[in-house]
Amino acid sequence: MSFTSRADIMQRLAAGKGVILPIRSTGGVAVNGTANAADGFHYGQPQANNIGSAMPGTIVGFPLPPSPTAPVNLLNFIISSSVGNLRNVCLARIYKFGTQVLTATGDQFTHDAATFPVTRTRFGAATTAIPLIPFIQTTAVMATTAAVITLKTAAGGTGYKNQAGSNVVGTRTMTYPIATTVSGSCFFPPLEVGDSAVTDIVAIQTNTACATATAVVWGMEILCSLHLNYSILASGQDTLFSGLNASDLAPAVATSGTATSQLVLFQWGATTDVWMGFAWGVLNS
Amino acid sequence: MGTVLNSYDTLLSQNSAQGPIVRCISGLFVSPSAATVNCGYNTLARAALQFTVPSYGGAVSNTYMTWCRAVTNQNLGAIVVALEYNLGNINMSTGTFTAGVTMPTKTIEGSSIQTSSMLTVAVVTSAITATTPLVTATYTDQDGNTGNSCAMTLPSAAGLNSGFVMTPHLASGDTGVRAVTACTKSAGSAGTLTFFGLLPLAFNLNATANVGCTSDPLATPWPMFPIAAGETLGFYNFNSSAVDFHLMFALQPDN
Repeated sequence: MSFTSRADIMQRLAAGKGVILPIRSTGGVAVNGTANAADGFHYGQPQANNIGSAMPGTIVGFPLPPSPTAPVNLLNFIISSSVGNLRNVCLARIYKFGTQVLTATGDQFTHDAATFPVTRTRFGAATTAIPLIPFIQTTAVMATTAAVITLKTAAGGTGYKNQAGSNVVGTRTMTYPIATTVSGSCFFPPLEVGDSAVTDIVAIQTNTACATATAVVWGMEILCSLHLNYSILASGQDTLFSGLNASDLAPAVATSGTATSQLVLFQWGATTDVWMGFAWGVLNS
Repeated sequence: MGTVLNSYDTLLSQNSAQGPIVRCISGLFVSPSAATVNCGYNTLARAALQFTVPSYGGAVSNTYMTWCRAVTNQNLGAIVVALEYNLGNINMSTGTFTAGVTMPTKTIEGSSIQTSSMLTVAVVTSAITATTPLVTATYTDQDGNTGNSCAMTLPSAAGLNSGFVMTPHLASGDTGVRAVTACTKSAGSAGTLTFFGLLPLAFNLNATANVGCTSDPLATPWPMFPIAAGETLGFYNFNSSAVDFHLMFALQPDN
């Protein structure tokens, strides 16, 4: 039965029906190049659990208890860092669409076995497709040429399904900002005007190949975004009393198969900040 | 049953009539043995000292922590101040398990709640001599189901006051622990591993050395656990470094 009151939430937490997540992140990489219009304007990177992760290739997310039986609604998220920088950080669930070859031109995207969209119960409707923000993560350093990609097939076919589930042929290219893009850098491929997110990636054309680099394509579900903060000062979001935003920490479910997903921090920017903090939530059953 | 949480004016009047408990704790967290993905996912140390809540006078039945501030001398730390319950221990030489207590009942928002710990920690309370021992605890879960298992492979020779969070290793679908009822170990010739169930009272971030962090439990979406006389407050730090810390807290009386 869903929780019905503040008192109900507090009693569930006292009864151990919830989650306390200690957070210590891996730290970021110093992304090179300068984000600009050609590469989507922003760069950033996921930061995963410090123990077990070897970014970018091995991502261990912040561990929930195994297989919660119901949604785990976020109540509070608070973090800080030892490095004084202005940063935007969010708690996010990332889902792996697949991989992209950047060292050869043409249709070079390989979708993972899981079938998208991933779905949740949203506004009372079960199996609602969740819109995700796509980003491409470099997993080996680039060389010689800045790669260029477009969200479409080389023949002009569908590249992605948008937030409404409609097939879209991308027309906008993304050019990596520098020919030596470091491993771990993440960029946001531009979507078509009017689109805000994707529910699946279908195809990605490598327009211009580089000499080396590998890449993973992810979709991000932002669970809680912190306001811009100066990182040595703790920044937090009470998602119960200060702007109701009790997102579900448990992963959305693939249409078929099991999507690779991790609970991470996503940090916009290009520094090596390590984040510490806590998040907690209540089991909503 | 107390009334101090019914209104802020009641809180103020009890504070002035009965007087709060304010304490400063100074201590050391050792550099703990590192956790792994097989034993907690987060490196954690338990402070060697604990605070025993003194007896109350007059009409005071319980207290509530309404303020806590901590500062440390190292970066990248996060301190939890918690009611601590000894759920039992295992002798890592003989394999003998000695049962402890069951998590208590507490009045939360007017109802008596059987508490369970969402942050149950296996702590090295005397240094362990063992090569990556597999420790399997049998426990009672948050719903009162018995016989569930939590298995962790600890690092070799885990040092004193190293803590390993059990939560990621509970049985599928479980979130909390009411009691530990048995435990086995695969290796070991010395040492003791003790299971502590925690009810957090305050969460303090100390990511930057010498920059204090204050938590306000009254304004935090977290239960206000009533604290009885004689109960134990434990102090835990998620940090891999040896850390000096200073911590102050206030306990407000309830009638």
